[in-house]
Amino acid sequence: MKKQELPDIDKSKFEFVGRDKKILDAKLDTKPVGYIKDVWRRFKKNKASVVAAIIIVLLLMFAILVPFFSPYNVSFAAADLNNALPKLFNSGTGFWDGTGDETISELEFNRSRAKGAEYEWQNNIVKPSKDAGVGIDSTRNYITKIHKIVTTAEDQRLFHVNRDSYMKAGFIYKQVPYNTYVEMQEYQDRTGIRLIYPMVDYSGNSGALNVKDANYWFKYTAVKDQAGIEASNTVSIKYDSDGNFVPNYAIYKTGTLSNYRAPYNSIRQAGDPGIDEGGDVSGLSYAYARLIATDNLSAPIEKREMIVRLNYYDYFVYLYGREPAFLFGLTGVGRDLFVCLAYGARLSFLLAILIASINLMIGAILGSIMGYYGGWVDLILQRIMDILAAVPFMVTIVLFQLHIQSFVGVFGTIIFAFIFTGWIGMADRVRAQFYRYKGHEYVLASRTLGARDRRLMFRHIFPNAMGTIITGSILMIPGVVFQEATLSYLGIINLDGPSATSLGTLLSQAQGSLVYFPHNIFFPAIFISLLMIAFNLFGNGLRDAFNPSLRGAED
Amino acid sequence: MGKYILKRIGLMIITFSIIFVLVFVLIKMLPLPPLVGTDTQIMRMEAVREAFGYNKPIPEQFVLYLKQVFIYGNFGVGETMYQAQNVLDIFLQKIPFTLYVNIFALLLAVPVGIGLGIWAALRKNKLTDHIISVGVMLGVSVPSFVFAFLIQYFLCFQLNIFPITLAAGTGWQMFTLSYFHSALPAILALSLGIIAGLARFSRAELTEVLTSEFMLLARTKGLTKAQATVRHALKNAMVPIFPMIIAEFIGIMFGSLIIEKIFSVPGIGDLYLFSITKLDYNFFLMLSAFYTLISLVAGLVIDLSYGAIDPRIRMGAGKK
Repeated sequence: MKKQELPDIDKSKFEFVGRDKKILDAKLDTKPVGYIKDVWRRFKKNKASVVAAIIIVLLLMFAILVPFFSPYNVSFAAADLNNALPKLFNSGTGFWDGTGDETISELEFNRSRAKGAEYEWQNNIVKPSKDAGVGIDSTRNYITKIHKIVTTAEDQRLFHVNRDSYMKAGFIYKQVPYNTYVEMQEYQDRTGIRLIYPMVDYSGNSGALNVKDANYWFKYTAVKDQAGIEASNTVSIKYDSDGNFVPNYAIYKTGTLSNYRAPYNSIRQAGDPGIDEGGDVSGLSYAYARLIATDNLSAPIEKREMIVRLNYYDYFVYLYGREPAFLFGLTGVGRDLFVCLAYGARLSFLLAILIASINLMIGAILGSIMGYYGGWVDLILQRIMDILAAVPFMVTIVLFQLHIQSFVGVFGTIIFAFIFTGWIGMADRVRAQFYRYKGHEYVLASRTLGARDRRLMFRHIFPNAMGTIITGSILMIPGVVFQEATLSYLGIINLDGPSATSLGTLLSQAQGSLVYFPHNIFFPAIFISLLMIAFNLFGNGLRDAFNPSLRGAED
Repeated sequence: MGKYILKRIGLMIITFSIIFVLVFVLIKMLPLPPLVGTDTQIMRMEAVREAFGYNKPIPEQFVLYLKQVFIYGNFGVGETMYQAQNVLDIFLQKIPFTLYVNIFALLLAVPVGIGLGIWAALRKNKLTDHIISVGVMLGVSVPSFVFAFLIQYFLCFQLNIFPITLAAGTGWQMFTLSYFHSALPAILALSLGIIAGLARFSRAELTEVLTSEFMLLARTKGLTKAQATVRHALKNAMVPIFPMIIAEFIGIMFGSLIIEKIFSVPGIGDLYLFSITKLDYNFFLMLSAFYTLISLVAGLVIDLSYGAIDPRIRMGAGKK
């Protein structure tokens, strides 16, 4: 080919071939993906794990936040309302509104009606007849609905009713100083809510055994059971000619010998003549307080303690400024289950995180040393681990309790017992990772370049074990929570106290009344199940994300 | 092989001895509780304490303990519970209840668990598999005592199918239908967790085997899917499942403290718990040793059975 053969072409006739076309092999402008980001991307793909993670965060927030925002704390206990049912709202439907359906005897039915403040207030409790459902007030009475009245073969009437468990205390006696008595009266005048009800004079009732119960404000006769013993729950109520309850109130009486002479200047009971204190009211007006007997009968009333009869529901409002309504109900000793759960969970989480992190540290350090150095260090530690792993956990915790509980307390004992054998699994995993990676070329290269052991261990090999370590320590948390709940359920460890409680203790306290008050078991049980499920799913997702080659492996 | 087994048993005995000595010393370091009871009981308890050398140095007590145990089969008498009664007698009285509940639980759990696992593996990624997997996840995660409460509340109380607690009965009474009926809630509660564990494990194993190359070969040779699955896949999948079952059978001696407590099964779990709350050292020592031994034996049997079942695993082979 000769040059001359090419004719001179005008420069303007040249044109660029690909000027306007897209250049396909463009420069990569995606960012490099690091290990953590890769893990995160893999983790996000596992929807169940993401949901589980959200649930864990919610449970954690529940445990952390509830104690701060709840009006009641863990030491709160309303013993008179023990086992009150969960109440979310006043629906009147029977669903989560603190009421429950029951079948009760006629006597129990009457006693329950007598607990209704509204009834006593209007003084018109009628002997239940066929149309006993009429006139039931659903807001301030123990019995809120009567579904059915059945007459049994023995001519006994059974009442199928709906009762509001927050009204079950009815009336209570409370010993208060005079100042409080006056305060209560002021509160009544200010709000119009009645707290104080007339005292009851039991001397009018027949029977050797007098039921000194604040809810027996009516006249009754004690009834002997088959064994000839008068029992408090077998009384026969006296009705007047109209079939109404007959109130049995104590009468106000002056004179230093009288216990019924505390003045009362507030809302009065229907039927109370209510003569004011200036006049001669002795023997006419009802008495609203009974003085406690003292040696010095002539001491001024202002210095003396007295017993008043209170409507518990309103007294609760007076004490706490809110009507009693507990989302998860009350426990057998009257603690708020919602708050108890949060405190128990908080304690469990705290224990679990503490134990998991300590185990992680011990396990990681010992595991690295064993795995990296091998030889006799490895051999000795392996034997120690074998021995420790064979000790049943129950033996460990009991012996720790017997020996060190007096020095380090319950919490400390639990931590020590869990750490005693808990680090073994972690050490095993780290050791295995070290064995796997210590012979790799890059480690050799680094060693040749003069890296010391410490640098090799912690800069080069240890990061490879991060995935297993993180997964392992996350999975350790539900393990500890479960063990702690089991041990406290069995009564081996006792974390219960005025300022703390534990899930297991809540369960064991509620177990006896499972049949009657299942809410006390169900809420803690649901909580711990949810926690275990969420942690297991989260842990599995995390393991898959950190180590995709292990996906589906079960360990 | 024989040499290897002997070596492992020897190691196990050493491990056990170390643990036992530690537990023994730690218990003997504690002050003894004062004896309470009737005069004859106290006399008997004191005589036994004397025979075990309670006021001698701990090493001497250890020798005396071994002597009593191995020569007379005497583990002491109960001091704060079952007073003046022989520990071993009480233990032997209690163990049938634990065995009863646990054996039936296993008899229920093994076929159901493995069956579910196989079913899920054969229908992998279909609806059946998903349902079983969710059930297994629940069974593995939810604590057994929650199942126990659910069973107790719904089956025993609401539906009234079973009595709430175990019926009383010993000896042959345990083999009546009514006794079995009353034990069913406890058996169910115990077996749910085992079922879930077995189902998960066997599903994982079988899925792995089903995707392996020899299965392809079997199909290419002309075997139907059913033939290939039953003759080749199941057999291979059983290799790791079988040791697990054997270990479970040894583990049943363990009983379950929590299930025994909930359903008032008078078994050894209950006894152990009682000895802890009552702090009866003789019972505690004996039962602790028993539990340690059981867990060691179970671990050993798992290891050894791998070799016995799977010829590919050579026991005691040195480093490659």
